[in-house]
Amino acid sequence: MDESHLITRIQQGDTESFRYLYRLHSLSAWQLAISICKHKTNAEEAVQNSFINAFQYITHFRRESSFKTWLLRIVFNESIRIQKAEKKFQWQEIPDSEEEHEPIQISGSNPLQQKETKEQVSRVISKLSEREAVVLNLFYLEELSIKESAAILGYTEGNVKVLLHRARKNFKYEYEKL
Amino acid sequence: MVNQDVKPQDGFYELLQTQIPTDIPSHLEMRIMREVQKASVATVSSINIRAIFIFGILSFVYVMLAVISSYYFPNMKELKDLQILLGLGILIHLLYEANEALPNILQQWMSKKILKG
Repeated sequence: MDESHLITRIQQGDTESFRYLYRLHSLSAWQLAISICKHKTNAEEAVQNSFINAFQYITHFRRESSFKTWLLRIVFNESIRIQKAEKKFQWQEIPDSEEEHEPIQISGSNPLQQKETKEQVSRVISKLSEREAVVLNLFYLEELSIKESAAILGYTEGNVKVLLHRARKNFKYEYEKL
Repeated sequence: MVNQDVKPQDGFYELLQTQIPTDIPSHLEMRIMREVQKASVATVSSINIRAIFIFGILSFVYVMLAVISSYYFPNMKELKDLQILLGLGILIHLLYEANEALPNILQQWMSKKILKG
């Protein structure tokens, strides 16, 4: 059953179809929530509230964007709300400027090196600011376009490009420092 | 599908793809579905209460009109036909609403049973 059909069924009141929709997007939602909340408990709360909100307001979903973008926007807002409640989050505006980014060198590809790389990347991400981590997450993990990322973050496309450039720069700096 | 904006040769893509989580807390699905069922039941209940309220008023108006008109025009055949027509209209509408609401209520009940099971 395709996503559009699932959404139609949920909009008609079929709650069981929501389970399939949850399974389709739960990893993406979890990934985004954990990159903002950092703590598992808060991320769980954010994902739970977001899916419940998505269910309650699914009749308002007008299919102007993809369901994933719509849902991730809810997850993003909910995660920020939870972080703000803990007074640990500062989502700042960013000035307009944009430069080309340089590539980054990756070490080895055997399983042991891959595990090590995974841990290193995780450490580097934890050193980045929340918004840098989030934009890298949306762009490289969720594989969303600049336009979709901008829709989720509530930024202009130019701002997302600037933020992405800065995130790559800081990521490269921290990664090469290891 | 690979993001069209991503430059695959820049190395960031490969590095960050290592961070894809393979699992999320398993209890989360059950918790969310339980809350969704509750939210859905609340919505269905509110629809039913509204429907009962509207039908209550409609039925009251219908009965009052029937009583008053029968009192003032006891021998008017057309009036009796009109009363039957109106009664049938209300009955058909009631059946139509029940047809919409009953599958929802049944589905909630079945889902609850599945979740408990």
